[in-house]
Amino acid sequence: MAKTYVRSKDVFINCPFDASYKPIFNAIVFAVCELGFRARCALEIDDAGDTRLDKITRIIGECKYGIHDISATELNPAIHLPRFNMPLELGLFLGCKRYGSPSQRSKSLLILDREPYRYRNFISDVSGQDIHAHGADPNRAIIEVRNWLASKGGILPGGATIQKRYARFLTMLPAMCQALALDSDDLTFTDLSWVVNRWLISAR
Amino acid sequence: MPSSTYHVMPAKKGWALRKAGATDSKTFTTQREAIEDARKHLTSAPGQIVIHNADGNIRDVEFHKLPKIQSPPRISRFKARKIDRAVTSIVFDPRFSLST
Repeated sequence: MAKTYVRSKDVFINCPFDASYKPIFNAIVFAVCELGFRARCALEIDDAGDTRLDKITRIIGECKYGIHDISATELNPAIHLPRFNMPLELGLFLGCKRYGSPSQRSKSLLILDREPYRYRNFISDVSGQDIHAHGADPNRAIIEVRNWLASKGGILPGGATIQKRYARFLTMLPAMCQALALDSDDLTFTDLSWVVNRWLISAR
Repeated sequence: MPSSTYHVMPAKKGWALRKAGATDSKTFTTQREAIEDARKHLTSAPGQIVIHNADGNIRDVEFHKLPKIQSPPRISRFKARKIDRAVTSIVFDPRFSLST
């Protein structure tokens, strides 16, 4: 098995990928990129030869940092079951940190939820980790991500500055998508990462 | 931490130095002169200099007191150029000028 190298600038984003969560996901991706890190998630590869779990474990192995949003824990009204993907990926990340090589043990994670202390009702074993609430507000998610990454060292732009830049980015996003003949709702993660990257390089 | 982005781009005659969000630009005979002038603007303030190729695509970026932007997941060169052009065209679109 090939050795996995932990990349000190890579941030694994573990969150729901549905439309209702997209505003928070996009804000987190923007903040991570703006702060000089690389956003990674399971959506970045479309390789039929890779099973989803292989893909996720490889990306988790390569990322020094992880942002895990456990806010989507409600029962699906149709099947009366919650979604377990986010807690599973959080467990994989914690497992790497706990049992991995010395570089894997240097991993650091931020857990996000909608409300403070809500996690105690459904995943109380994560107590003691860095858990913060974003209140389902993209701007608050930006502040949480910024403050957490700023605690890892380096002088980083402030949360208010990133919020302002993100607001400006959002005003230009429909026009950028139009120029690419894309619908902003249909942007893939890779497309979004590139548009964010090029916009930050061109306009921040 | 407000910052500025300066683009060194090909112009009709020589090279233009253009600040993102601004509608006007300054022209230089060589690309080097334009880069040097951009650096003077960033001696104390945070910002970045985006250096374009003669064909308009981004060749290099200098970061001054700002975190270096990491490269995103790999895509084809063709698609990367397409995104480059689309984003640059909107950044310099007068509708999004910072003065308006």
